[in-house]
Amino acid sequence: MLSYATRRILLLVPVLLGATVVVFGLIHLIPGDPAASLLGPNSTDAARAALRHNLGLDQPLPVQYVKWLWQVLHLDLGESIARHQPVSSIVWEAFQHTLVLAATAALFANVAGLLLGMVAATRQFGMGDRASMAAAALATAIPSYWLGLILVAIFALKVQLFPTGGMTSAIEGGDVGDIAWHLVLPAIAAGAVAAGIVARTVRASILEVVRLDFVQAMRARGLPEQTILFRHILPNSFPTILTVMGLQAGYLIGGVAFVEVVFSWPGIGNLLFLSIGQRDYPVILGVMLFVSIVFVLLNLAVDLMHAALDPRVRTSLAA
Amino acid sequence: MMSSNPPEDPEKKPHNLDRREFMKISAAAAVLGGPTLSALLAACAPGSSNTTARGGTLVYAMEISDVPSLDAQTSLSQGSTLAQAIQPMFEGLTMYDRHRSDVVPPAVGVLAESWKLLDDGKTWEWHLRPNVTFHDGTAWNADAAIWNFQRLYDPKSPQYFELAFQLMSIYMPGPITSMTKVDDLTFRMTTPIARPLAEEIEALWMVSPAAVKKLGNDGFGRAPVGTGGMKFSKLVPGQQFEMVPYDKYWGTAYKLDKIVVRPVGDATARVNALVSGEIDVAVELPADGLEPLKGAGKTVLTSVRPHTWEFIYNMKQKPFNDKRVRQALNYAIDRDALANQILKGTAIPMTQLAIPNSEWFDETLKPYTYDPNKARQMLADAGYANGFDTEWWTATNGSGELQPVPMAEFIQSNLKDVKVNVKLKTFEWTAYLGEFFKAARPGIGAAQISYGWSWTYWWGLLFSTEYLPPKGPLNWGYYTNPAIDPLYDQALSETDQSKRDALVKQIQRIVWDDAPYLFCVHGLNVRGLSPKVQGFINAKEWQFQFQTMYKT
Repeated sequence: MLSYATRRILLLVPVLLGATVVVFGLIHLIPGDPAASLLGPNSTDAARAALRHNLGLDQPLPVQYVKWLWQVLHLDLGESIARHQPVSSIVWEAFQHTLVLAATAALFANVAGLLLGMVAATRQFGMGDRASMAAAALATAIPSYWLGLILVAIFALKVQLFPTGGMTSAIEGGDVGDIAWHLVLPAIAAGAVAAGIVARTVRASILEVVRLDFVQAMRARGLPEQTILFRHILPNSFPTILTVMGLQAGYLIGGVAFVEVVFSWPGIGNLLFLSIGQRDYPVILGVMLFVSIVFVLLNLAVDLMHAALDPRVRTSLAA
Repeated sequence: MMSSNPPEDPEKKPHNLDRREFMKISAAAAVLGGPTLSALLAACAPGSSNTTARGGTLVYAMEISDVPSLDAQTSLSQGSTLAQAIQPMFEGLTMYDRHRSDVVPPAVGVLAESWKLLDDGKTWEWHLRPNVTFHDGTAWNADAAIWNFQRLYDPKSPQYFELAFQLMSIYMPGPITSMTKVDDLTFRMTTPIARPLAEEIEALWMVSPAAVKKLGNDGFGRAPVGTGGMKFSKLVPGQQFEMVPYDKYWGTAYKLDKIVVRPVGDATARVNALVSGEIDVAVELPADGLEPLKGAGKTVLTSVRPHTWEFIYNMKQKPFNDKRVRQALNYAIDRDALANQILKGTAIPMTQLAIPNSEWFDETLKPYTYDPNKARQMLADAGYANGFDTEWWTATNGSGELQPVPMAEFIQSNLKDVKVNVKLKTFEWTAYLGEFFKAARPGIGAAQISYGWSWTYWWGLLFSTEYLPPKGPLNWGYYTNPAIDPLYDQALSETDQSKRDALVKQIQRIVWDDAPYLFCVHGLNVRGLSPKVQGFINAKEWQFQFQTMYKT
């Protein structure tokens, strides 16, 4: 198990290296120049050239990449071009906000998905099943940013139950209740797709276990249906459900990006969107590196949890 | 000798009634009985005593998606957006008097009481306002003023901040040859040629030398210190910053108890936040947001500002090297429909480059009218009776760009009526700027851009031979007219404003006739306010001031 974890962590290095090369290449392929973005249409050529020189953007790309990599190896992600602040602190600050949103969205997705899936599985082919699965299909089909806009139009502008955006109120905001109030709409928008996927997985996994002989045997012995469901069927379906939940949580870290933009949520998605517009290369690279690390680590955590829950996986890992 | 508008005397201790106190009084009055209550309410009602009414926390949404460095001397990297938001904390030697809404605000003395040009014709002597302190308690004096100019202009000084110089250089051009202190409140500044500095340095706001030394440039950007009527109080990174009144302010005290500034980069999000009451004031609102705002009972104000939106013709090649073609197309577009239908009244038709009521507006200049027949005739005279095909470029978004794609498509349909087939190519803003700065290339007929016009030297950057690309890529289409150069040189060093304005008007007359642009519209400031906001003055400029505002 330990050697498996070590191997997986070591695999991180080529994965991240590859990711940074791709991202570095891609962002320099987009036409446009940070100096032009920063100085705007009123700027002179000389001012832009001087700024590019200052930022080291007049050097060949491979040189820029190696310099950046050398910095990263010294745990320095460089300084933001547009904000004149260390990238690490900007990304870390934004990541915490994303984590709050992603965690709430995951909570919503898992609870809603689990409930819908259980309702559907226990009433297979009944009205409850059809309604739940229709809801799940709808949730997976609607793009999150569009759902966000619709939620704002209804619950923030028409009914005015929730704020239109931001993480806190401008005046005397910032306590837990205030943040929770701001979280409701973006968490639903961000979690809807995952909720649909979780619901379908839960339904399928439960139905798979239900057909197994031991369940029939328990029913034959007269065990109450609830006991069978919660004590025997669910625990046996969990490995699959948990893998899907973990994967969805990983996707949520990056997937909340659009929702963050719609709701002006000060997270990494918003930061990335803004930085691409400004061609703030160090921030774009910093965010991508950070998201890659988190994604890979989350996947690893899920695999390890899977192994912990399922002795068969554990045995195959030890081999 | 020029002198500034005298500042108002600091008000006597104002009637400090905030919302909480108001509620207390109201509650007490309710106990005392009806007549007293109504009398008290009448006394407190907005409008009944506007000179003393004050208070409230105002939430202002700035049109960027982040809270960048709050250093006044790097703030212009965001156009005027961030400058607008930090303006309550900072002041310059001169500033535009945004307390006026009748004319384009003139530059008046703020941290300078008066200034004069010495006999050599190149040295300005500045007399500074006495008894002014920065928010950290240090004194504003000649040493502080020179220190600030050195931060931007003197690479040998320890405080030289190259990034700030690069960001500010477009707003404040030209080297400073020397600076000397005369006494504690007087210093002199020499430039290679005489320049109208009072106008040119209005965007240079003074920062506390002691604070920059203590915090460094990065630290200062997160805890700025100026001389303005509001001082920095709090920063929540990425989310908001706050300002509260500075009790030792030399001028008229701000009426607000607090200003909260939030970044809301998306224009629709600003409209939504105004409608739902999360913010009190927002600017740069989209044409589509006007109806929802009015429907929700918000105040929507528009005001002209020195802005132009145009297509620049590529004059290096046919057909736009022919003045008749350039003029013909100017007769082919319906500016009125562009401003009032496409942009729903958030712009006005461009009748000349200068905006109405500005110092450069020329009553005698004839606008290009909408006259497709005349356009067809002129095109036929130029040998294009059957029209021609051309490729034009525009951005899809960007600073001051209004709604470039619908606008360009409308123009495209207008031009089709005179048999000019425009193929539009669009770019995202930053990519577009990168392309635009490469200047006109073969095969591209015209490129769209919008400019802000506040300074005399701007006319040279765009139209003088000296600033042809690559030195000055702002002149994208390579337009020149030798008649402009001597006028521009003269205007640049003319310190008598009326003479300078007359010279600029002459330049404009030549440009207007040469038609290097397809002149389109002046975008308006579209400002949305909660009805609770009082004392707002709708300045004819990019920025407004917060000093007279309060909330009910």
